[in-house]
Amino acid sequence: MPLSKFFVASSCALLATTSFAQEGANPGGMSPDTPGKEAAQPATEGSNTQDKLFVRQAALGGRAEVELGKIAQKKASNASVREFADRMVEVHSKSNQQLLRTGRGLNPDLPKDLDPEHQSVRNELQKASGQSFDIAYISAQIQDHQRTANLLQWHISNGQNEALKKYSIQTLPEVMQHLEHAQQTFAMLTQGAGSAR
Amino acid sequence: MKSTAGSACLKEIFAFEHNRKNCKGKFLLSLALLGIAVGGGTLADSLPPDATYRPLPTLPLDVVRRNDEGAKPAVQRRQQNLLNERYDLADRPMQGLKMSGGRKGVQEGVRVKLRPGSSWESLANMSPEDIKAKGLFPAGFMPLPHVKHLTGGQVFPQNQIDAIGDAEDRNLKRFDVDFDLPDHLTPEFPAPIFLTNRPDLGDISGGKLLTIRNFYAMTVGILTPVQIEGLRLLLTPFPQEEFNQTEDRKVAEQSDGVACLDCHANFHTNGAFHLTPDVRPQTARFRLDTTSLRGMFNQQIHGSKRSLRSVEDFTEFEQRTAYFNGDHVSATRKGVNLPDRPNQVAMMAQMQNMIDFPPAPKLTPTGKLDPTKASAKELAGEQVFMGKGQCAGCHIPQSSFLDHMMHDLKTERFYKVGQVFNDQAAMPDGPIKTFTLRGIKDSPPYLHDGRLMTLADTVEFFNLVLALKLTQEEKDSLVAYMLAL
Repeated sequence: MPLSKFFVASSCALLATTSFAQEGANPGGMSPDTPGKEAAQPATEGSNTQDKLFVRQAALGGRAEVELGKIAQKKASNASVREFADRMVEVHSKSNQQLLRTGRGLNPDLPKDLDPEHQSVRNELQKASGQSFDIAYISAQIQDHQRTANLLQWHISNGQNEALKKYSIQTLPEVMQHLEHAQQTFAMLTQGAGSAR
Repeated sequence: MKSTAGSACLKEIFAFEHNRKNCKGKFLLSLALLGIAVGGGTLADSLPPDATYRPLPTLPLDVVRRNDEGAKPAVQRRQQNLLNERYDLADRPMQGLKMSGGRKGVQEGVRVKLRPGSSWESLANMSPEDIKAKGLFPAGFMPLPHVKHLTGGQVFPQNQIDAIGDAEDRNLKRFDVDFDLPDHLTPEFPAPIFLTNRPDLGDISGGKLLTIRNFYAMTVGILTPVQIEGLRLLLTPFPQEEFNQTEDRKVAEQSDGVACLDCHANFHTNGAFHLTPDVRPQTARFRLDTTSLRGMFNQQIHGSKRSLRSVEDFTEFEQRTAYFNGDHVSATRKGVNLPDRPNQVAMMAQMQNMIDFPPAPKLTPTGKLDPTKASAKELAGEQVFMGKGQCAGCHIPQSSFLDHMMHDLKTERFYKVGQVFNDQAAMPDGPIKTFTLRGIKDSPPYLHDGRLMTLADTVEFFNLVLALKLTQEEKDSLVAYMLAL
C-alpha cells in the first residue's frame, strides 16, 4: 500500500480513544488499514474484516434458526421439541435484530433466501414427519449450535469492533445453553444417544 | 481504504460460493450420507484459517510494539483487578515452614474469595445445579485467564528474567505483558535440584540457577557425559513464538529464543505460564502453569491434555507445541529446532529422568506416613486423604501420588459455560492429567492453570467439586498432611 494512502486512512479514521478495544488482542495480525488514531491504536468503534465476516455468518445462521424453528413449531410431534422450537424462534428473532443493529454499516451482503446448507436442511425437514422429524430437527440444531459457538468464540478471539464483541460475549453463554438443551432433548428422543455431559 | 478491505472480503465470499458450486455433487452426496445417519444435518461454511492457525503479521514491528506498549498498563490493570476480585493475594506465610530449599515460606489459608451471601459450609450443602443457578461458584475456582489472553504465549516471572539477563545477556522480558502473580505466591527461586542417581548429595544447585553459562562446572563429576549433553540441550535457547528473530515476536531485540529450563527452572517450575497448545479458538484456550519436572522417572503420561506416552515423545514434540502453540506452520517459519531422536532427544529425556522429588523424611518407602515421625494432625490428614477425601483414588501414595490417568472433574457443573473474563471464555476443561503431590508445597499456584494459590484452596476446591462435606478439622489435617509429602 502506498504510504500516503496509509496516512490518509489513519488520519481520517475515527476518534482517538484513550481506552483500547484490543486490550488483549495481538496487534501483530491487525490490518494496516485498521481504523484508529494510528495503526497502533485501533478505535473501539472501528471494525476489521473478521467483524464483517462474523456479521454475515451469524446473520445467516440466525435467520435459519428462526425459519427452521417455525417449521418445527408446526411439525414437531414431541412437546419438548416444540418448546425448544418456540424458544429458538423467540430468542433468535430478537438476537438477529440486535446483531443487525450492532453490525449496521458493515453491509453483510446477505442472500435473499437461506444459504444452500440450510435450504437442504429445510428440504429434509419438509419431507420428514413424526419422530424422525423431531430427531432430524434436533440433530440439525445441535450442529448449528456447535457451529455458532465456534463462530462466536472465533469472533471474540479475532474481532475488533467493541459493540460487536460485546454482542458475541453476551451471546456465547446463551448459545452454550441452547446446545446443552438440544443435546438433552436429543438424548431424550433417542433414549440416551449422544446425551449431554 | 475501508471499502477496499470490504470488497476484498466480499470477493472472498464470492470465490467461496463459486468453489462450492463446483463441489456440488460431493456436497449433495455427503449431505445424503448425513441424512441417513441423523435424518438431516448441516454442512457449514468453515471458519477462516485464523480460527486455528497463527495469522501472518501485517504491521511493522515498531507499530506493533507501540500498540502493545501503549496497551500494557491497561492490560496489567485489568488482570490485577481480576486477581483482586478473585483472591486474597496478601503475603501471609506459615510460621516457620519453608519450601525444600529452605529459602521461601509457604503461604497459608484459603485465598479464593467467596461470593457475597455464601460460606464454604453453605456451598458444601448445595447441589452443583443450585450453585450454578444462583451464580455462587467462587470466581477463583473458574479457569484463570492469561494476562493477555488473545495474544497468549510464554510469560516469565521477573526473577527468571533478571537471572537470565545477568547470566546470559538474553532478554526474556516481553514488551506487551508482565507476569501477574506476586512473588510470594510462586515457587522458590532458584529451586533446589535433587538427583536420583546421586541421592547422597541432596540439593546440588548451591542456590544457583542452572544456565548455559554454568551447567558444566556445576555438574561435571556428578552427571554422565550423556546426561551433561542432555542438560546442555535443555539449557540451549531455540526460537519460540514470542522470542525469535522474525518480526512476529514480543521481545525488543531479535532473540535466540528460550530454553526448556527457562520455565522448568532448575528442573522445577518458576511459575512461568502459557496457554495450552491443544485448544482452539484462542479465547477457549486455558492457561498453563509450568509443571515441575521432579519425579519424571515415575510419570507415564505427559502434557496436561495430550497424554504423550514417553518423555522422549514429549521432549521431541515440545518444539512445536510449548514453543509454537501447537502450530507447526508458525514453527517452521520462525526457525524451529527439531532435536534428533536417537542422538539428542534420548539424552534430554535421560537427564530429565534423573531429577528426584525433594526429600520427604516422614514417608515410608511405600508412600505412607511413618507414625513414629508424623504428627497426630498429619496422620489424621492421611486418614482423610485415603478415605473420606477420596484423594488417594487418583493420587496413589505408592505410585508417587500419581495414577497415570486423566480425569474430568466436570467443574462446569457449577457455572454457566461460555462466560468471558478478560477475553477468556470459561469452557469445560475436559480430562486433565493427574499431577503428583510429592513436594507439593514447593509448587504453587495449583491446578493445571494455577487458579488456586494455596493448598488450603485446593482442599476447598475438591471439597466442593467432589461433594466431600469435610469438617474444618478434616480440611486442616489434609493441608498438614500435604505439607509432609
